[in-house]
Amino acid sequence: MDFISNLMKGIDFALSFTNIIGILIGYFIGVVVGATPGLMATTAMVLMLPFTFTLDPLFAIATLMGCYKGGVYAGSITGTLFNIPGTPEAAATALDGYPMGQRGEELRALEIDLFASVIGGTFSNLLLLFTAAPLAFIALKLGPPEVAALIFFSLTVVVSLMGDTPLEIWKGLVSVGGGLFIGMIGLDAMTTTRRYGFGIVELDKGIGFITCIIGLLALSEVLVQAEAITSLKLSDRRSRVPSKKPTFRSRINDLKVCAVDILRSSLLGSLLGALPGIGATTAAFVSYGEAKRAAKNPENFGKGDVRGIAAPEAGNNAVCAASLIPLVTLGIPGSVAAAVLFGAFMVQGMIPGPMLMITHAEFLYGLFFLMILTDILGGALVAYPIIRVARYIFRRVDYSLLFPIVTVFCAVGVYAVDFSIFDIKVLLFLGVLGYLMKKTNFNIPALVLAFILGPILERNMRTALLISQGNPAIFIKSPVAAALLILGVVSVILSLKRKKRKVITI
Amino acid sequence: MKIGREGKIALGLIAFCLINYFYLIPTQVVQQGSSPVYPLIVNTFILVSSIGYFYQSTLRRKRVSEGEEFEEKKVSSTEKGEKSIKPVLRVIAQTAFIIIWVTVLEYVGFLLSSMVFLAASIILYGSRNYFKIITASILFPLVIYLLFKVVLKTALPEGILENLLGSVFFGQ
Repeated sequence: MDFISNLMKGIDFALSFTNIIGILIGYFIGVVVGATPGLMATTAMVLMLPFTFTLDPLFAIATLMGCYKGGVYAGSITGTLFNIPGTPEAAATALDGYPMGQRGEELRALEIDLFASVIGGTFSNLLLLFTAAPLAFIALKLGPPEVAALIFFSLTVVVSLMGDTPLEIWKGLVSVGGGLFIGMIGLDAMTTTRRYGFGIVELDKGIGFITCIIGLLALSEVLVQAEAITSLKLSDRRSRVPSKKPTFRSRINDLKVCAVDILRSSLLGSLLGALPGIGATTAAFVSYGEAKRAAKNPENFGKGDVRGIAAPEAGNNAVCAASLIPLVTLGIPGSVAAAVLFGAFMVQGMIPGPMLMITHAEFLYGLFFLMILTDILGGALVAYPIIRVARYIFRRVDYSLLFPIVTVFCAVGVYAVDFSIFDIKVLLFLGVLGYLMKKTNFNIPALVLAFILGPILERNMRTALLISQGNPAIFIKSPVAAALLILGVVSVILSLKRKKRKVITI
Repeated sequence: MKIGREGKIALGLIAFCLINYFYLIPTQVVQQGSSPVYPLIVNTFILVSSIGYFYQSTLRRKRVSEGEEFEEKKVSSTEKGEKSIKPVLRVIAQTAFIIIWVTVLEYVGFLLSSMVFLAASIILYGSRNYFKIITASILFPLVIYLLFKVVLKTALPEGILENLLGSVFFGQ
């Protein structure tokens, strides 16, 4: 009963012309940026974040969410048209999307991309809507030792799942340590004394969340692209096969053929997305693999099969809303995009976590409702018209203008937070650090998540130790905390062993 | 024993952890009156991970058989021959441009410094279309400046051009 009344209040609160315009603007920006190779959906979110400070909270967060959803979907556009996926997760879609496009059926491929994205996204939105409240209720029962153990578990799971080899797992752990270290710089939150300040007064407030994510995610990407700029030309190698336009009947037929795959992938993507650390890329490839495994004629995959397009698209879009489940129920961002939204919530004066479900239930249900609208309206009013002109737009992207402009955006975005030139210098330092991490294959998402979760981990750990008068046994006495700590350690050990075997057998 | 690039990075990290244990934590944490417990835990975590990383990187080098190593070397030397030094120089130049831009930003203002920075960066990224370069490097900072000044009602670092625009258009 509470659920229905909260949902109705949320719909009433959220349903306004302004909010709908907000999600459409966000979706549009996400589609344009996400489809542009070299720029990610999260880059667009990061760059938009400073401009949302003065906006209405619901409008701001719904716009960012629209941007994320638009960006995740749009990676497949350039993947299908030019075989250059705009985002990593779209690489799975391009396996069949591009061959279909080469047969002159690019519009058909783009439409299947879109339908699958909308269905996958909506499925995931509904899962978030129905599970958020019960999970938040359970999360409310967790005390400081359990929360500290949960964060430890989340970070180790992120590292275990993101690394493909033992070396990458170790690098992931070092990255987590780096994130925890950067998170310590500034005033100690409990004693308000300086830590790692080196006499620089500006460091007292610590490294800003926005400076950190813009530097590590966006500016580092600009530097990487400065190196790779010559390989980023979208050549139009379409064979001279005449374009075939899909008919109403062919569209229905396509949907019938891949309906089961879309539903299976939506479920897979939602479940994988709800776990911290599993991004849209894993979900897309797992969904593709499952669709191929279930097919009676798997040999058609890779040659432009509709199921090979629909399955990964539904899977990667289903991750979007599901990745918010740990954020709104536990206050733990499970992905980089969720981390950006975590920052957006904080900027708007709301602390993500189980209490949010109680203190801002109307707001959250309103947001969930707007997310459902984002997929449907964004797909119909933004993406559908864009895919008809996509070839002409994205072929003309001028990277020599794009990346310098993004650099200015990064600096202005950071400056806008505190009007501090010092922050831009920190941004540059982090941008170079991010660039070096990318060049040496360290795990930037793990570092960002550890940077965000570090202060929460420290606060809960120290509170738990205060409660136990300094006795660390408090983490073992609580069965939940002990189980999470053991699971965290075991997940790393198992993944090191599993990956080791994998490397040897290959 | 020959240590590869990964091993050297791991050793660098281990060295950092030792500096942190024996110099940074005592001077930058304890002397400032803060509790060293959490920094020590984090530092130990990084140290253990770095040792694991070092062990893994040296183990991997050992495991690579002679033939594979030869292949690896052959590929890397071929790549070295083909790779131009230009891309790395471009990154260094871009970083230098940003450093110069940030340094002069507060003295000459957002507009002038950003216009010069954008023009230089666009040329660095390979564009030689001077109409595009001039248009983008003038228009984009202007749009951002007006967005901040008029819409967001906040100011970016001001200088000669901002003062001139202010007196002409905003009567300041």
